[in-house]
Amino acid sequence: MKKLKNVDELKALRDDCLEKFKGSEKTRIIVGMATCGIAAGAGEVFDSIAGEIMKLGLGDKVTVVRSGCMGACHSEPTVEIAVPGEESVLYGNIDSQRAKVLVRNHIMRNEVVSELVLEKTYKTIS
Amino acid sequence: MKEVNITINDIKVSVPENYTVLEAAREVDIEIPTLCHLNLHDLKAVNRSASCRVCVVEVEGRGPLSPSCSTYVSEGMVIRTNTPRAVKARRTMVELLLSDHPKDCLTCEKNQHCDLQRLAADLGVREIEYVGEQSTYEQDNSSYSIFRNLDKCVLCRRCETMCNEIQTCGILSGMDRGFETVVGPAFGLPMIDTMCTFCGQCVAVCPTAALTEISNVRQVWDAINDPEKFVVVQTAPAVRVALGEEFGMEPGTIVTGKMAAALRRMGFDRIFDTDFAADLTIIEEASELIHRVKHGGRLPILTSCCPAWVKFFEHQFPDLLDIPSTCKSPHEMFGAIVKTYYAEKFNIDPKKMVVVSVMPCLAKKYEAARPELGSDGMQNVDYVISTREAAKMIKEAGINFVNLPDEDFDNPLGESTGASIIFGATGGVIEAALRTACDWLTGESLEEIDYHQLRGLEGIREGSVKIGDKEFKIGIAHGLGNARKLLEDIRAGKTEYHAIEIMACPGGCIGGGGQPYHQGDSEIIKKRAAAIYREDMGKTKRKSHENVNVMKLYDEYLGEHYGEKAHKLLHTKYQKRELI
Amino acid sequence: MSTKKQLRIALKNCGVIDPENIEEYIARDGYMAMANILTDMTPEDVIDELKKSGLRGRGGGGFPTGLKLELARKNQGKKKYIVCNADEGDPGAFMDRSILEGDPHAVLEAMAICGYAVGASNGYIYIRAEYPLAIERLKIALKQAYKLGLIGKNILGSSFSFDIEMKYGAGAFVCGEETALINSIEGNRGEPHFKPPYPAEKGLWNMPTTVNNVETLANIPTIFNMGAAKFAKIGTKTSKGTKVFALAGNVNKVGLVEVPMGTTLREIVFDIGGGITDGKGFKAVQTGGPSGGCIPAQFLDVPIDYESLKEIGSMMGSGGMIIMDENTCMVDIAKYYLEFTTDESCGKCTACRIGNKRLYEILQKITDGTGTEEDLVKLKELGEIIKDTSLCGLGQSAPNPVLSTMKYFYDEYEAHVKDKTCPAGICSSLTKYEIVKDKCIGCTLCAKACPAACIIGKVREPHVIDQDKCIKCGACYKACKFDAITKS
Repeated sequence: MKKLKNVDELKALRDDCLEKFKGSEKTRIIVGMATCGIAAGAGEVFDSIAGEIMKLGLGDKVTVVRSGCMGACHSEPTVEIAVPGEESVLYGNIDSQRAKVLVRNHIMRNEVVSELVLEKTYKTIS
Repeated sequence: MKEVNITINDIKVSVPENYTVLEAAREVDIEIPTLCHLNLHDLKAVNRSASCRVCVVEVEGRGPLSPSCSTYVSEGMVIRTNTPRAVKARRTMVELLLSDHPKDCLTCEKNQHCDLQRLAADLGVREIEYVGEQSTYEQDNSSYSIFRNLDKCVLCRRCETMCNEIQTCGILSGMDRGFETVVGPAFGLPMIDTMCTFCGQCVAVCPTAALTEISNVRQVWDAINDPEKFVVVQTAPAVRVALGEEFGMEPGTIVTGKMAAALRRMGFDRIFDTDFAADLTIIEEASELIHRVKHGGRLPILTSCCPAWVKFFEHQFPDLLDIPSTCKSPHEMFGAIVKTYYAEKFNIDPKKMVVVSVMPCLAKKYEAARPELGSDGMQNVDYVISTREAAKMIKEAGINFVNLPDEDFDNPLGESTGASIIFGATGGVIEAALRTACDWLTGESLEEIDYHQLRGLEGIREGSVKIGDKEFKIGIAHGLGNARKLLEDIRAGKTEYHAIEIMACPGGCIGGGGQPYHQGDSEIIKKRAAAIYREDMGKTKRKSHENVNVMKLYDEYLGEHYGEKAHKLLHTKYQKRELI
Repeated sequence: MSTKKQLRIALKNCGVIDPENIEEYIARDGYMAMANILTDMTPEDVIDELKKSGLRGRGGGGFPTGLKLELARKNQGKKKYIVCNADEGDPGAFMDRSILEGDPHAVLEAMAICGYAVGASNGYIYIRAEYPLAIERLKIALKQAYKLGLIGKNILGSSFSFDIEMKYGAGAFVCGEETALINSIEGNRGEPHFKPPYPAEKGLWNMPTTVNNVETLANIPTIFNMGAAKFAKIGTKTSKGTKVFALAGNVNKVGLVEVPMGTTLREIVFDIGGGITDGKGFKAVQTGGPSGGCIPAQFLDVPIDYESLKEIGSMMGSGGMIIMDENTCMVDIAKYYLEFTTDESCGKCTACRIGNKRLYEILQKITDGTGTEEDLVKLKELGEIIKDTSLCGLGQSAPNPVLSTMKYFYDEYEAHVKDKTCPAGICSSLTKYEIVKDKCIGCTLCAKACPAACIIGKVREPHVIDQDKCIKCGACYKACKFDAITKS
């Protein structure tokens, strides 16, 4: 990374980043890893998901991301799966076993694991 | 200064815009009670912590009550100082303070000198509505000077302001929190293990008996009452212009004669004057200065009469230990002379002698215990009592001080000159030294000996004095914060003084930590200073080298000025001390 | 139940982006607000825009952010400072931590914007040392932002430079008060001083300083990206935008929620929070942390904003929201909060140091069953005097939990004092355990469980509790399998 010298360089970087994150056809698995999530076992969940992705050779289709708090403290650890072109799905009470189930069902078979789905009670400002 | 129009209790008044509500109220004779507030205008010491909440008033348009000591006036401000709401809050604050205070006023050290006691009386507090746990702390009597009884602390933080802002020593500060909050040295160390200079300015401003002196009254009575002992008392210059205050006399009243009379009636065997030793100090210090000037010794020379200042530089400026004069402080010189010259001359066993110093100072108590200030298993000075303690003893002895006749000191160690008296005020020591040094260097007896440029209460003063064809640059600082500034300049090589006088206490010894409480009124200190110079003017001899008995002491006993014997008895050495 | 009651502005990136990757923040228009400001806006424009947005401080007081910046801009000083107050300390509150852990760059960007607006080139983040992950992520974010020249010298080639340094708090609650916080950064004892002078005039090292809370800052980049006018459409007349609450206590879905100002407590507790745990009844909600108050059921439908909460005896505070069910003793709750504030008081002023201690002692008496009716009068009187006389916000608001519970739940106080009972059965000294003779089969389980050996009775015969010896631990109550022990 080099120092950005002006606004245009920032804009260019933004467009690159957008391309990298949004424009790609990759599925994003986000693990809520704020302090609370980590305390509830999000670290193991992350490892489990990442391990499973590797094992199944899904590395070029899926990105696993450590993120902050998703707000659902009542159901930590939480995982959100965003398949390109689809509404993302928020899961709660995930452990390393359930994490594998998510990868196998939601990613491999495109089946939502409905018993683990958390209702999203928020929208985000655009 | 721009003025603003305000209304206080329906009185319209115009005051400078930098006034606080408290100051504005006083302009129109409205008293707002205070406790934590302290403003020693002339000494530039202000405690405005707004922590006691006693001075709260109603300011229109502001939600909660405002502390008048810290609320500045603004155009159109409408203030009410005595509404039921303000009065009730004020009284509740005092009740709360009392609820966490040992109510042992009758036997308290500060009985009748306590701001909290007076406040409770003024507010008519007759019962304490809220009772509960009281804080208790271990008492600290580790030092020779300052006694800490924090059960009585009201957290006004005045001591912190003095210790940190004025003296820049940083010994006392708030610790812990909530109900357990307490003021003390870091890590809860006992005072003796800190770099406290024992200047006692914390004691001087403490509104209660949380900080007082460690009393030596008992030991002194015991010595007086012991027929085996020969008890000699000496009194410092600043005591005679302040002692009267303890007996209801006007600040600035000179009570030298009454003091001598009282001490005699108390039963001391000899009543001597530290002023004698102050003249002696000048002979030695002026000789030392001339010696350094003539032999290319290190300059500037710094005075060393103030024990708090000595301890300060030992901790803070250990790299500069070679510049202060090696002269002992006057009362220590006195002790050394009494137990040698006087003892021999009058054939008294020095081991049976007890030397008591009446001092305006608490650091002198610590100084008296310094092991290097003594010899043959004897300390030069045995006990030091403060001006306040002396007053207590006089009262205890049932002496009607005000009506006493004037009496003289005993001789030969009771003689003094005007030069020695001005030791009591900031700038006085250096002025006294100049009076002698000038005469000596010019070989004439100069008439112009009032160095007005060196007097006053400005924190750091400087002046230059032409002696013959040589220009002497003089520096003066009082208050250790000011001393620090001067010393830092010297360390950085920024100044070229020949001689510097430093006194730890703001105002010099007249503002010492052992003086009658000024209760926040710096006018008192000014009046004491004026008295010091009045006493000087009243003396026929105003130069130390004109003290006949001092000169006789050299002829009969010491020999040469600044000579070998003088060194042994009258000079000392300093040591590096830790920063903690 | 309608969905999507929440609107995320401050939390918009939390749980979405990787906080340790600046590229993800940039992909979501990160630093664009700052970039546009540096090229197209004067500092005055920035302040005007913030004023137009109606953004108010999210840390407690609700002071208009634009105005705060304007004051610091107008005051003269050799240097000026921007301080981010990340000393979150309310019990049960974790909004700021979540933002810092999930979206640290938003805070950095906002600080730079504020710096540009007031003419400051230095910023401090005062963060409690108990937030190691937030500190770690902030450090990473700072490093990345410096590397890209988004923080530091001549940002994006402009003449504006802005450095940010982190300072760690030692966990004193009072250091969330801005003057105490400034003292702490300077290396002094963390205790407040009387205002005025406000930090905008004499702040850090006596220079004009703006202190903003984390959540306030997190709103700022979005306000510029979406436009102040649009932002100002969200919320109520006096309170614009959203507020993040840390929902906790006896509620089914504890968590971090962000709702537009004007949302009702009912919507938060029942629609978003999923109602009270174990199907119990709602009793009260405590907002504003130890400085706030308890709000009873009658106000569940009040649209909440800064003013309405104040009106009903509480305050917005930083966003702690603790839900209490019907089994909560309100006297005990008041005591809990007061215990917190007396412990966290800096001890500087008499009103807070001794006053709140005495207030606590009276509550202690009441919950111990030795309180008198006179104590209730004292409690109210002293509480009001402390509010009126304390030096800083902590002391001034410390009696709020007491005064608000006295206002809405006076009957509970009376029950403790007059009837010597705790209606919720929480205050152990006032609880009485009794064995119902008809239900007791004499199984001896209770007697075995009793640590004080005060349950007497023969096997297969009804037992009796010796009330004089009972320590009210409740062990028998839990041990009994036949519901033969009552608690009252």
